[in-house]
Amino acid sequence: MYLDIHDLSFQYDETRLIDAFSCGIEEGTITAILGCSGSGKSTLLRLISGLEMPAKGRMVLDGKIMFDHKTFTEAHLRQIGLVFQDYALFPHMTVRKNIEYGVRKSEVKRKKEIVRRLLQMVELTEDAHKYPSECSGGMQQRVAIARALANHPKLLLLDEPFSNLDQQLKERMRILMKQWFKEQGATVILVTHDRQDAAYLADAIIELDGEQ
Amino acid sequence: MIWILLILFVFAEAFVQLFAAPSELWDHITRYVLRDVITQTVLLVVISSFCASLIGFAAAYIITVYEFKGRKIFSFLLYLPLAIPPYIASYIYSHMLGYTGLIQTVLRSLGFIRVDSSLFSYSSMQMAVFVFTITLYPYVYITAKGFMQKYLGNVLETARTLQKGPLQMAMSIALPISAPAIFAGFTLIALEILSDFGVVMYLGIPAFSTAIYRSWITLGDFDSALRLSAILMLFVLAFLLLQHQMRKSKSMGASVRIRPLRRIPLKGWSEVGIIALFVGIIMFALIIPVGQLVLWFNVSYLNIRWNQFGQMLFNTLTLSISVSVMIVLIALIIANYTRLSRSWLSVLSGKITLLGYSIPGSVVAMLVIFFFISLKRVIPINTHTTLTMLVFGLILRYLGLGFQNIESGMRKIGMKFNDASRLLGKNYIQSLVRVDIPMLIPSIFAGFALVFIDVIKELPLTLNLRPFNYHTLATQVYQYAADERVVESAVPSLLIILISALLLWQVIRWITKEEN
Repeated sequence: MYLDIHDLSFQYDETRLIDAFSCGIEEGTITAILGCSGSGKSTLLRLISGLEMPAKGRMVLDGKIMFDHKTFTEAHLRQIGLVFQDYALFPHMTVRKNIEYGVRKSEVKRKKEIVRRLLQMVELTEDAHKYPSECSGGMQQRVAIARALANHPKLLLLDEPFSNLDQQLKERMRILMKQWFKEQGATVILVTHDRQDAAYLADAIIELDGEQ
Repeated sequence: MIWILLILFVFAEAFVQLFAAPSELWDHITRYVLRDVITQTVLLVVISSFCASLIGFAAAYIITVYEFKGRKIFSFLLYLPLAIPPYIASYIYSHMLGYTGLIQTVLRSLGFIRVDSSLFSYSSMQMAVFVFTITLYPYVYITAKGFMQKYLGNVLETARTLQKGPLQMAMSIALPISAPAIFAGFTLIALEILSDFGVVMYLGIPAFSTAIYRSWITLGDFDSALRLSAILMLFVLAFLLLQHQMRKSKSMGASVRIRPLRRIPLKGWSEVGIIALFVGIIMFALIIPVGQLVLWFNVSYLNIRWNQFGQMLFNTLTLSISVSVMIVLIALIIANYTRLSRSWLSVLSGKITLLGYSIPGSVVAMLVIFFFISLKRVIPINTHTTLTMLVFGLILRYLGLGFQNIESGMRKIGMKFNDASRLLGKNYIQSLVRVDIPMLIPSIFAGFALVFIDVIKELPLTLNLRPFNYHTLATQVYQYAADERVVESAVPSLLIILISALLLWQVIRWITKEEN
């Protein structure tokens, strides 16, 4: 398995939010995690990305242990991208600068080329000079995805990617995203509460109902 | 962490003194001085804070709820009296109302040969209340206005549909809803008055800060002064605890949906009345004091020794800038620690930084000296007042102010941008420097500017801890007033006000931008 999570548990303030969650994901696939609000979907993404420390469990990504009883790899060393529900674009940077920020140090010489290609892919070449506050919701989401992809993540996580978009835009973005991720060969986990989104995008669906 | 422990140690010293054997003078102080000091201090704090809060609330409410000619300019001008130190206002008004002052002189020159002096007589308490009211009301104006603009929209519109009149809306809706914000401003005013030295010293009011100064400097009884400081700190702590309880029981805001308020246009006499009210406030709080200083400047600038004055200006600016920069750096480190760590220790660290800001400058000065004397027992150091001592004291006193601004900025941006940056391969420090700090620049500048303004105006701490022959603009203003040469204080006073107003103007621009 490319990503192997075993017996993952997490609690906050005495409340057990994730209890013995396990799953396995193949490389280059899109997996949807379905669940109602409060079922711990976003927490699961934060645990996988390394923003939270699990109480117990084990996670291996691409043959490397991300955490187990004696290892905990910090978020910035995991090479896992996360597109937040509200995108978390840096407001003081333009669209171009936001994407540039994601480019890895080792690829700094190819930075211009990477950014140009990503801007083209998300159809934002004309808007590269704009600040996030000048962009629509759909544009902001495309910047967030391009920024995450600029880092060549081994795994890309999407937190409720369509919750801030209207129906028309949502349908368009669904088509585009599937196309981009397949083109890039990216391994993606997205969490959503919408069955239709999950069914359209995902190769596999995991249902999270509080009991996992 | 070291800094936090240092702060705790410095403040703990004063409380230890409460349990030590009292000096001979202490008996005299408790019999003849303490009661008067407590009564006068409480009276001054309560009446002045109440009057200033009333003006601050009324101004904030009218500016937020009504539309009238000049609203924007009044909205800005109402902040500016913060740039005028209360002690300078007290010198100006006391002098203006005197026999040789502007008012009686003008009346006599207009032919009123027999001007009834009793018309211009006032008690020290009345003058102090007036001065504190006109110079400190902006604290409530700022806190209440910010709060009302966010949370009054929905409720006031509902009240209007229920046919509630303007006064009813203000008293039964805006006042109770804004109570926590008003009380936060009230607390700042009360703490400012408690820490004042210049006004009460000049007007001869027996307050804590003057009693501490006299016990220490005039009577040379350091132990009694420290004991008085400890009692004052107990008062401050009790007051802060009360405020904390009230905030807990009144916590609201998050439950109310934020909606911008559509202002009610004022017409006819009501518009004229409101404009007249604001013109009156601005006249007394800003135009008259600054105008009087300009007149004094006109007759006194030739008496100024400009070479000495240049040195004084240099001392003031270097001291204010270095203290403000150090405070911003320490506050950034502590605020980032409290943001990253969820432990009780990090919460406590944040609260401890606020201790210094709640305690009068003269008390902080005493604690610093006492601390350095204790330190001398461990390492051989100079215990005469030095620049190091002064800078240490000022950081101790104003760290809370800088911390509050930076911490609230960090709270607003939260962790999500830092998280996003780390997920793009940058570590904590890189994320802090490249993402958080650029976003925090308004808060960092506001913290820097507010500390700078306070340091430039600061009096008791600088007076007590400065090295020999070290003068700042504020100490020079005090010196002129103490020597009955108030007119000559115009140049340093105007400079203090000008520099403070310029910085304040920039901070107000940011506040207004955020409010909108």
